[in-house]
Amino acid sequence: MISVAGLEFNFPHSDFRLTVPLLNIATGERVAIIGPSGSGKTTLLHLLAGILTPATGTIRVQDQSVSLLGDADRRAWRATRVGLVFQSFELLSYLDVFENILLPYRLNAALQLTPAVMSRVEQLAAETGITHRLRYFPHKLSQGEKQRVAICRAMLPEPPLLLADEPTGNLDPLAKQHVVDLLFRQVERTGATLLMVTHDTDIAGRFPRVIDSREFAR
Amino acid sequence: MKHILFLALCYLRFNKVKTVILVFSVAVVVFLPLAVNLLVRNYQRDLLARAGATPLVAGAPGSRLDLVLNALYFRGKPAHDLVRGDGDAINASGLALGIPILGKYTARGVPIVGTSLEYFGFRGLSVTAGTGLTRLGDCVVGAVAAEKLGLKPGDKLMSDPENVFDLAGSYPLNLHVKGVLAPAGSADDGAVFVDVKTVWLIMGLMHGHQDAVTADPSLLLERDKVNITASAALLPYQEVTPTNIASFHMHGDARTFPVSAIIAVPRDDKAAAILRGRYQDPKSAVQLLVPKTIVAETLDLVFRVKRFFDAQAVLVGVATVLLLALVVLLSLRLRRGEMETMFKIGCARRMIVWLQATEIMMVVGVGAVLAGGLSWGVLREFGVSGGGAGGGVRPVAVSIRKLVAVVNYPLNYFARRIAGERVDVLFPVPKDEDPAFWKPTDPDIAHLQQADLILLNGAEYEKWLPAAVLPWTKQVVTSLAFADRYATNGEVLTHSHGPGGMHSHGLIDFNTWMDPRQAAMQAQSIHDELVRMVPGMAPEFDANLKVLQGDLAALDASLAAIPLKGPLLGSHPVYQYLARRYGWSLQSVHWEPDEMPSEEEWRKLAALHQQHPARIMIWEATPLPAVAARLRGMGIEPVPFETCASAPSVGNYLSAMIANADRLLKAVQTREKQGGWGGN
Repeated sequence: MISVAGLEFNFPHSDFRLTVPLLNIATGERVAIIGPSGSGKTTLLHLLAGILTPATGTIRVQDQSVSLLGDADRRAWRATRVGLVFQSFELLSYLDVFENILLPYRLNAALQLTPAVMSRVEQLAAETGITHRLRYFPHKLSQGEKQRVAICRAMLPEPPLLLADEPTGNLDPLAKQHVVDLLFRQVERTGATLLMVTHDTDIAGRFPRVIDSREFAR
Repeated sequence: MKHILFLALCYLRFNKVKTVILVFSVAVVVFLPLAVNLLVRNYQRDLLARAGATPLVAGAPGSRLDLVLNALYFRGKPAHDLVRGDGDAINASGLALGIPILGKYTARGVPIVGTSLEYFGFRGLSVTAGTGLTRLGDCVVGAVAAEKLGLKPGDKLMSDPENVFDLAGSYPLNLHVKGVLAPAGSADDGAVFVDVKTVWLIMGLMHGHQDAVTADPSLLLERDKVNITASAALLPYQEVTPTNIASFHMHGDARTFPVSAIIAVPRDDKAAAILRGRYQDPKSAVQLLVPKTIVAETLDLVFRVKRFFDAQAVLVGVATVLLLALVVLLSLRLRRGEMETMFKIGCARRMIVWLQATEIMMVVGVGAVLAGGLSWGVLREFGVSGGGAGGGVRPVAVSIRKLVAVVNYPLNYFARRIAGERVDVLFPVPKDEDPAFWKPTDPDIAHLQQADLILLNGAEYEKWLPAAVLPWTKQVVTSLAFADRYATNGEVLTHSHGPGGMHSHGLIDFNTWMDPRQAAMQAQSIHDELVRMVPGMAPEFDANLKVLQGDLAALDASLAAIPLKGPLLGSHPVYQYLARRYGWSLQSVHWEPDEMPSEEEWRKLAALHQQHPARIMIWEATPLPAVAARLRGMGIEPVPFETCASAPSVGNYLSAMIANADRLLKAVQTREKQGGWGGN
């Protein structure tokens, strides 16, 4: 599914350097990435999502060489093939829950907004228990609800790769478990591959495979 | 694109307060200079258009701007007035049409504009509801004024008192709203129009009042054979009604009555140049202005001031735009995380820029639309400067066939003799009615208003005239040439009220045509007006006049040849001009041919006869046989002598007058044979 080889990345004007000589992740695999702050966890996710471009090396996702895609193709690929979940949810305050979930379809022409998609929003909302909140704006939601909305948004295009960047960082212990349960259920249902960055060893312990980012950071 | 619009709309809708503030700010920044500029431009265009559509304005020397503002826009009052005679002079020059403007009063705050019927044609004003002016005290209301005051035809409108503490001053007049004018987009929309005589009525130069003799004897201060003096308690009427309209009259010569300004519409450019030349003397009592020049000078001053405000508006606008830009930039900075999220989930950075730009454009667009709407509203509310052109120069008459209206039979006869079949002559008085006592109805007056020329007898013949509204320039008083020699008779009423103070009503003998030489002068006046109206037919009119004047001269010779040496009696005081012309010693009573006089009247006649032993009494018609017999018993021979005010039963004016002369001659000759004139 994911094949990274000889990857090197560094931010301009920074000493930080990320080096991934080799990383393979199988389709449907659930992987937790742990490590201290500044060790390159989020950077690795962004490289895998095509948000950042490596200086050298290759990133292949489902036989697609991400690092070789042009900007527009990479955005289209990301919109259709990658689901992103963020620690601070990143919901748009001026859209209600329904529209926040639909947002990727309004931002990229590679995703066609059809009635079937809208039905799927309701289906996802039902699966994640937020049907009654569909017409609410984010400021009316609890943290757990916000994260469920963010997960729905990431899962709506049914991407084969789900990247979650500390999705439980702002949640209470019970909510953390619920979110992880939810993520697991979703990837189980769709067969997607899940990579989740976390600081929480308990949460990481629930993943079959754990990668420590310190292996990559220099 | 629809997703960008949708998301931008969601953002703006969610941030309502911020959006409203931004939209309002943009609207204000756009609206203020836009509205000011549009208003000023609108005013400029309207003011210049109206000024341009008003070729010349005459007024008393003084502020040129005051004069133009009053004459064109009905604002303010010139310090001094002209008189109607000045307007008559312009009309008489044949160079221009003179239209009076007299604006001194208001009605519920709306200016009352006294003018003549010509004004409506000149400005292209038409009545959209009701009718036009026909009577003294009538008014037609401009469209905006009608809406503002809630007026419709049939309503009444009281003029505002000028000074409530001046008891001797002008009284408010209750005007009758006869019609509402169609909107003209000019100052005419906001005015109440009356005939200029109605303003004179408000001023107290005309009035109607109780009959001093019959109303209340206590009002009479003094009475002698010829004069009645009434007290100031003889109140004038404050409304012209069908029952009191006949009592309205002028005091003094209307030619000396005031007008604020005269709009002069020259015949052509050459006439305009000649007319301007006539009034160029700085010492002239009349100044003649080109309104467009005055308005342009005034606007130039206004625009100099406006340029300063324009610069100020630009600076304020720039400052506000910079502030708005700062607000937008700060907002974008606050939304950086949102934009990053969008990018991460697959949105192109270009689309993010478009999204932000769309939000800004929507705010600016709505603000601009709001500003446009507000500006439109302001223009709609305040944009009518009252300066719209409202018509233009005098329309050229297209009708070849002219209509001449006359008010009595002699004028009818003279006009037909001179004009032949070349013009249509309208004599609207019913055959069985004495024209001297004719009271025209509104349709009669409306009919007269349609005439190209209205021939009046003058000498107070047309008692209905002061209360009727007729075109100023179409009225011709045919006896004007000898107006200083009108003969008076009967009582004179002297009384005091209004600003005019003490004044008198004399009774003038209006049978001017009884003297053939005066009749010839009236014919000459008719001829001159016909020639002015249809210059191409002058030779024909000249020839006809010559024949008529020959006939009148022959008649004059016949009458002069009657050897009437002794005293003469008249059944009615209608022969003053004959007596004056031929030196007859005439005394008259007030008897009617179809009535038997009372014994008291017979006694008075007997007493008069003692003093004035006449052997002949001339009558307007053959008296009753009993009256004739009793007269003959007194040694007085009744002789019919028709006045010809109405069409004679047989023949025409000339044949009737010749028959009069023949009858009188025979009677005189008979008396001569019977022993001359001395005693009975």
